[in-house]
Amino acid sequence: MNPTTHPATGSPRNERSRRLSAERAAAAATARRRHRARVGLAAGTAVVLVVGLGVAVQASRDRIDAPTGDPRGVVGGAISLGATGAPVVVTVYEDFLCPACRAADGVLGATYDDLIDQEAIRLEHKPIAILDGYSTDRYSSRALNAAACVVDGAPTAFSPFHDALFAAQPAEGGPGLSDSRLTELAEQAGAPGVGSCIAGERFAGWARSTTDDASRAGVNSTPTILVAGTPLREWSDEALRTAVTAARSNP
Amino acid sequence: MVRHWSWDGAQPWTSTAARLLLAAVLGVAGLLKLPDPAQSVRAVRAYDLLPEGVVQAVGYGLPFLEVALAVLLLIGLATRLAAVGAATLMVVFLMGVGSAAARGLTIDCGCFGGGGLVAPTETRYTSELVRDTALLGLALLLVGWPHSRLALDEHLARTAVPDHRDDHLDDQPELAPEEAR
Repeated sequence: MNPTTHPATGSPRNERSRRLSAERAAAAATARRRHRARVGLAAGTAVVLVVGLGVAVQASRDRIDAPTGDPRGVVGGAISLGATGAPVVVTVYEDFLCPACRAADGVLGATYDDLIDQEAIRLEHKPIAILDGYSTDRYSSRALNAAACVVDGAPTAFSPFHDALFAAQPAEGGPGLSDSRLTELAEQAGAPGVGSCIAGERFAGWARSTTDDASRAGVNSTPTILVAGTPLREWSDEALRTAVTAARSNP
Repeated sequence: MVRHWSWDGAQPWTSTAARLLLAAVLGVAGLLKLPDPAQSVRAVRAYDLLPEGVVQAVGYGLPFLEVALAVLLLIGLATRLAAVGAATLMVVFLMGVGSAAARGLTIDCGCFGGGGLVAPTETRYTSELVRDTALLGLALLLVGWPHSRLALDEHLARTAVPDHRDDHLDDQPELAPEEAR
């Protein structure tokens, strides 16, 4: 194409106005770039500050309060049922709000009792609280604290209290059992006088640290049922007995 | 005048939609994790990828990063930068979930709170990967075309740079006065 025929380059006047407008456009582009860099820098700094502040806030919210010590009746982070010399240890991680835990316990409860009676297993309960987000009042943690209060007050009351918590398990997403209801259940299970321990969450620190211990041990879901350290994949009377027999013959 | 559909015409609103969608997902994901920092840390730990000290920082900080990016995208401030951040997050999430799937872990991604191990039949890696890939697509669209309607960026640019024109218009051949008839 012949440039001289282009209308915009036809006269010197046009050329000058072209150049001027090009210069103005270039200046505007520079200003835009600078402006964008300033906005980006400010926004980036704000994000970094928010995240840094957030880490500090969450860390302080997450700090475990002065350790209250383990509840009496808790040994090695577990509430043990059955003969100490039993050949196989079955470890059960449960959250009292977890429907699958309730279901698994419903299926396996009688088998646990039978195997304990036969002195074939020692059952180690390691209740944890990982479902606080699934109730409106941190029920998982409150129920776990209540269980600790019960064990501390009367170790033999743990088993019936544990069963009572599952029998009265609230639905996920709503409020959990109230402190007074938990206290009632504790009394019925045989642990009177634990009302202030429940209401004041005396074992909140323990509940928190036992849950973190489980997390560090690679246990994050409930129920996790370990037969001599091996996860039980299927929750049935037969599967549990088979696993216990296998663990016994192959220690 | 009959207006034909064109990408240049549709792009600003498309970018607005991408911005708001991404902001909604990131915002909800972050806010749901904020109330329970301990669980957030456990969800990160369940991936079994990071050393313990880093696990804590990520568990505490990630929800805030998500919310901060969501706010920037919602108001349309530093959109391209926020989109780069969101795209980076999605790539990290994809690698995390992908590696969990590849290693045969059975965990919940913890994307919207919760997290940790789940029963083998309850993993949802495929849908998690598809979702994060779609979100990555939205973020990349915004990296490429950050200019959008209802954005603070546009408003600020107009105030700060007097003869500001939307950049998407820069790409269009504008008629010089003497060419217009």
